[in-house]
Amino acid sequence: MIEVDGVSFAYRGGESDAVHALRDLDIQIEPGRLVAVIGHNGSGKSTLVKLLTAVLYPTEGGIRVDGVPVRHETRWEIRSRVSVVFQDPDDQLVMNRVADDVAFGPENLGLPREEIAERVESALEAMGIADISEKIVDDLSLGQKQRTAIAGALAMRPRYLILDEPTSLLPAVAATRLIEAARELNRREGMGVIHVTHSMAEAALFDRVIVLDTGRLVMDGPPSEVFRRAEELREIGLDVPLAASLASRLRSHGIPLEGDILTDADLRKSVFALPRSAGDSG
Amino acid sequence: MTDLPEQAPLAELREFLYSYLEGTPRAVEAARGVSFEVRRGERVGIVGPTQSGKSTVVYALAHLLRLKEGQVFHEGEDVAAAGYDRAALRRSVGVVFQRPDFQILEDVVGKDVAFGPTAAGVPAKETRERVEESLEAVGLSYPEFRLRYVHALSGGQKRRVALAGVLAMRAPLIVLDEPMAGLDPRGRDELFGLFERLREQRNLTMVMCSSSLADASLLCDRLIVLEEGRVAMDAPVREVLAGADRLDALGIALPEPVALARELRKILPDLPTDLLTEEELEEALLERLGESRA
Repeated sequence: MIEVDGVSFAYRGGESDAVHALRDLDIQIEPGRLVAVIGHNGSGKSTLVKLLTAVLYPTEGGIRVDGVPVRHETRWEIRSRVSVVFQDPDDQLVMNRVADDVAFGPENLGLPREEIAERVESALEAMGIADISEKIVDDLSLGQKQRTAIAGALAMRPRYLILDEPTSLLPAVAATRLIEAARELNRREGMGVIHVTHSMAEAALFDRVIVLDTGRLVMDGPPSEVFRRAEELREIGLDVPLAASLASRLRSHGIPLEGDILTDADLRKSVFALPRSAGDSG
Repeated sequence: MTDLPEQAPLAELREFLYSYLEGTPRAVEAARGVSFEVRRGERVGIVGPTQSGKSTVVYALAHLLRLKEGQVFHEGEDVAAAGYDRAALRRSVGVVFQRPDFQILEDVVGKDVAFGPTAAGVPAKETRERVEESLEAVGLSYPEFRLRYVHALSGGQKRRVALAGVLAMRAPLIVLDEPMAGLDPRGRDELFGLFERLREQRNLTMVMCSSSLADASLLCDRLIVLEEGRVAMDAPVREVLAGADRLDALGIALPEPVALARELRKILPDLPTDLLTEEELEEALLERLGESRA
């Protein structure tokens, strides 16, 4: 369980005043859950990621990961439980060859050779990149690099995997594939996934959506509840998935679409289920 | 060439071929015979899956590659020909890189935008005018931003500073590499509005590559779809979007309204996919659902 308890964080600028990136944040995340975090730039998303991975420490309040308080002294323990994949894979790929890069983390944990080999193999397998394990990282496409970065995170066998906008540089096909891979790992290994994203359609695929705005938590709930609040979301510079927005427009024209509509398939099913009405017989 | 320069397209690729690391075991063929023209005032988007050759084509138009003769033309002239004035060419093609940090050279906004004109020998007074005009054109107020530190700006603001630097050179052709990548929805909306204004006010010719078909569709008049270094489609935006199934088969992510329309075609087979906005899709749906009701 990740417990964020009354956390505030301020960046201290040189000549200027402190900039409050997070204010009085309370969040509990159970292990093994699929959570999306949304908010526009400056909402505090990235700061939250840095606090959860012991890169920064709260100015006020405290964070615990599986009971371990996040502090400078506990940073290695925290980082063995929480792995992060950044937006730009070039920020975290350090080795020349794919397999070596994936092995980099476990090697630094000082694990025995056989265990490292086993972890690397299963991480490559999980990301579907076993066939490129001998390739040079510089020769890979962005999508392949991103999956290599995630494989590296997985080889650490984290309890929680944080994806910090990894899809924002990817074409949507690759982004969907990446989210499917994360969901599969969640199903198989019970690993918690915290996905920070700009994409409402992606957030709709998660169990829970947390919405941040100017450093505060403004919404927290299942996507069907959060995306019902379309007006409030637009006010803070966010949106709802297209299918949801279109469904409410069609309803306002008197078309009686039923059920929660978040995805394209939801809308198709609701349109299909429309009663073949007066018009047809008349 | 018998054509007068005015009649020649502003830029043109003819059977453009390019390999990275040519002659080494790691050679990669990036462009395998790409031909198209860019006419004045057009906005052309180059799209395609990763490694389809988008960046290579854009770099060729920006003359950032070592080019071979007979493949890349600017106003009808072969830019790789011996004796061609490449220094002048550099001033007539502006490039906006994906990462603004690659091209922002000064630490203060006003100085950075002035860098190009100053280096090109534009007199100080005119440079100042160009800086003011360019900053205002990209939506950054001159008095407010001229003395701001570049490092304290947001990603979207930095990209606009880079674009202002290019505008200040008054280049007739602007080439943009992934202009929307990495921006949040607010930053994107701002840039969309900016490009629209620039187009209306200045009739700029722009060529951009984008890994997002959605962005390119909204920003451009015409799209060139690449597949493995070759041109797969070259048509006005809506014509390209009408071929949603083909785009999907190429592994290109569809813009949201197009993807949703394609999903709904499973039950409404006559629903069009050449849609740019949610409103257009709404209208098309109301026509079909409204009819069978009412």
